[in-house]
Amino acid sequence: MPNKSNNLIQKTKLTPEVRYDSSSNNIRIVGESSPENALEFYRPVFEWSKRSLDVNNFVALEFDLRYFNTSTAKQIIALFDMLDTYYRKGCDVTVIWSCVSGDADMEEAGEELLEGVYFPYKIVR
Amino acid sequence: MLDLLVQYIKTKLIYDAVNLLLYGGGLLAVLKVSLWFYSQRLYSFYWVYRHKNRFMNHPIFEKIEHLKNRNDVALSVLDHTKKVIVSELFYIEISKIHQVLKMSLKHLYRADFVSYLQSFGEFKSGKIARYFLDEYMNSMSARKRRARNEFTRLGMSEEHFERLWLLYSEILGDYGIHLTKRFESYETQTDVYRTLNTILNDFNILIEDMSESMGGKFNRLNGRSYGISYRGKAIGDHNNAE
Repeated sequence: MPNKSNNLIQKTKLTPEVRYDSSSNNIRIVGESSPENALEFYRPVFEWSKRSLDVNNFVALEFDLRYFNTSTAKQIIALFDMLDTYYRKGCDVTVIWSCVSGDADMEEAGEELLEGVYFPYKIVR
Repeated sequence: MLDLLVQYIKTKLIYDAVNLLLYGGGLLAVLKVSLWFYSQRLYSFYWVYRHKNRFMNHPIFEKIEHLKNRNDVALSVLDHTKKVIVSELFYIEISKIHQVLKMSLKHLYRADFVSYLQSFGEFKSGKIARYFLDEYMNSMSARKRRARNEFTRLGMSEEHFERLWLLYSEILGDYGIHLTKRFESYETQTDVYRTLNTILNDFNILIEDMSESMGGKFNRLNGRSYGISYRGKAIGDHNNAE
């Protein structure tokens, strides 16, 4: 299991680093994501996002992934669905999808995941 | 007396067997076989890494790009809507296969050489084959989401889409069973390099098979009943039929 401190999940061989800055309502996910239990791994991300949205009506998520597996993709889709619900209620949501060194596959994956969402997002190449 | 004789023979047999193993070259043979197996795995581990570019640029990716650009499946029907539906599903399918393969290869190669070395314990044909297969099978929900976005944008109702997806899932199940059977046979394969090659070739065969037979498998699909607009016409109304 990844080492999880208050607002930080340490990077492991199969999981990314997740850092939550509660003062700026920013969540940053960096690395590779193929956890054995993606549902459990991404639970804090859902909780932190909800907390920021419920308290401050704002959350900014930044993804900087090298690759991710399909169970991670399911969690990201579920997360985006949740963000969309909040955005439609009037909350401010921002998502940044970074593609390390112009990785076309990750760019395409990001475009696919973000297709059809209502909240504003940016793909950084 | 008989018991004593049996006991003596047993002891003698065990003694001889151990003697043969330790001093008769048996132990050496066991060591040689273990070393051979281990060195083969090590060599395969190195060889897979050395040919990283070869796998990352496997001809299957070129073929997928070619098929995506052609944007068509082998389907000679007069029902253009059906053709649009099948072509779209095929496009989504091969895009997903492309993504699954690239991501799985990235998982195999990890971020850097040190991480790759650390993954030696997982470097087994069966495990790798299962990873690729699971990733492909589990991508179903992402495919469905993408297809829903695309078809509802084209004017298909949610109800029609669900019906279409049910049919499509059955069709994909046929291909999936075939692929699973093949992948299960890699469980005992010791040469991972060869297994990886075969996995990519299997997907290559799969997309070729899909491009040729997917249209035929959709015989139950009547394009006009799916409410998709084609070339600006609202299909579903017989007056507007092609």
